[in-house]
Amino acid sequence: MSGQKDKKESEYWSGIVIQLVSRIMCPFIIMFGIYLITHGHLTPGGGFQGGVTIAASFILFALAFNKKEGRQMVPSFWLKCGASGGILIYIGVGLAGILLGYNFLANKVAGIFPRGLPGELLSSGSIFWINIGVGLAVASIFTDLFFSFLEERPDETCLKTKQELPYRRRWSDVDRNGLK
Amino acid sequence: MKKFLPAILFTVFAFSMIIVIMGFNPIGDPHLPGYADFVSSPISKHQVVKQADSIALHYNRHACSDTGAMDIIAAIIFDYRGYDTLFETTVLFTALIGVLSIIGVKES
Amino acid sequence: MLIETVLSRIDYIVTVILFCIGLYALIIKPNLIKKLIGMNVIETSVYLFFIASADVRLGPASWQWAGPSEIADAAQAARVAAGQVALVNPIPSALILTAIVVSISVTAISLALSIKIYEHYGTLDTRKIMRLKG
Repeated sequence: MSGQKDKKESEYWSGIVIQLVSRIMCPFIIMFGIYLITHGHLTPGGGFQGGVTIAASFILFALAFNKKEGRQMVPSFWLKCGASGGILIYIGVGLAGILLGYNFLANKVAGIFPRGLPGELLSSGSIFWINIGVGLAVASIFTDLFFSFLEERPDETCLKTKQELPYRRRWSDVDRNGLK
Repeated sequence: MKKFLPAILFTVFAFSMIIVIMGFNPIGDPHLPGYADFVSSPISKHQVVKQADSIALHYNRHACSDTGAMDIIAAIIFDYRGYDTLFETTVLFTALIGVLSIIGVKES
Repeated sequence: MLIETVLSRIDYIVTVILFCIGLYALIIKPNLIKKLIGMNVIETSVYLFFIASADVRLGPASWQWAGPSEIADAAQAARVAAGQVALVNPIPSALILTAIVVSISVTAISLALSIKIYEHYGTLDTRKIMRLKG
């Protein structure tokens, strides 16, 4: 079991066509996610949807190549920083209202953030910045969830894993010819 | 028979729920919970009905001038219900922490 | 008459069918992963129910008329302000966004627990797990 797993470690998980297409498509998917985030107050979309789209591009890249190549794009430390930093941006936008003597998350009455005409990009005050924070947090959290599921290893302290378990089917078993 | 018994039971359950649902307003009818104060009229003439003030109508009318956001849903979830969205993001973060503590990615 | 009644509530009927399929998988299937799939199907049916109940036929979407922009419709905005046009209800969409996030969190935690259950017991069959006792 372990020998088979180690042999697969450096192999690619899919064919040349999927690799090429995902390599071309990934920047455009990320760009579309950024568009969804930054135009969240003008058109349907927002931080959650755009963040999920960005996370999907990293997941696509990791599935087209392999675990190591995917991890090189998004290191674990920066994912944790993004997840925490997104929520901190949100809380910071809320606290900016308090610092000026208004409520938490005060938007229009506080007037700290640019309020253009409705329809412009830098309009609607704090909603634009909250969208960026939420998008950063959601993208990091979903990518980190996927990679933590991908890199999961059986626990050595568990009793039953020392015995011979039935062979576990992994993502790395998905070959070009289908499931083994 | 034992194999089909659950399927029969769930079919009966589905039919009883469908019978209840037949009493609902048809889809697209303005006489819906958010619009319960609509005064009258079938669907085809809903341009002439009069709207009273419910919370959905308040959002639809005043969201743009209150927050400056054109998308009313963004105005609702990021401004009117900002606390809700803040703790929603926190729920996702807590789920990530839970998964990391259960699965435990080991550095080695 | 009956066909009209059914066709005007077709989304609700699909909701009920989805709900029953999910409930069947959640109760009858012994595999934990299939139970989770059933739970997600039930959640999807609830989303469909909420979004279908928010619809107003021929009503404009909530972002199409607001604001001075090229995609905004000035005449439509005047009619909305005068209370002559029924808009799509925006509140269920905002609520369902919360529900989606919560369901994803629940699914992630349950999948992680399923992995640990599989490593401990060597199976995902709930009948065998209940027989094994630790």
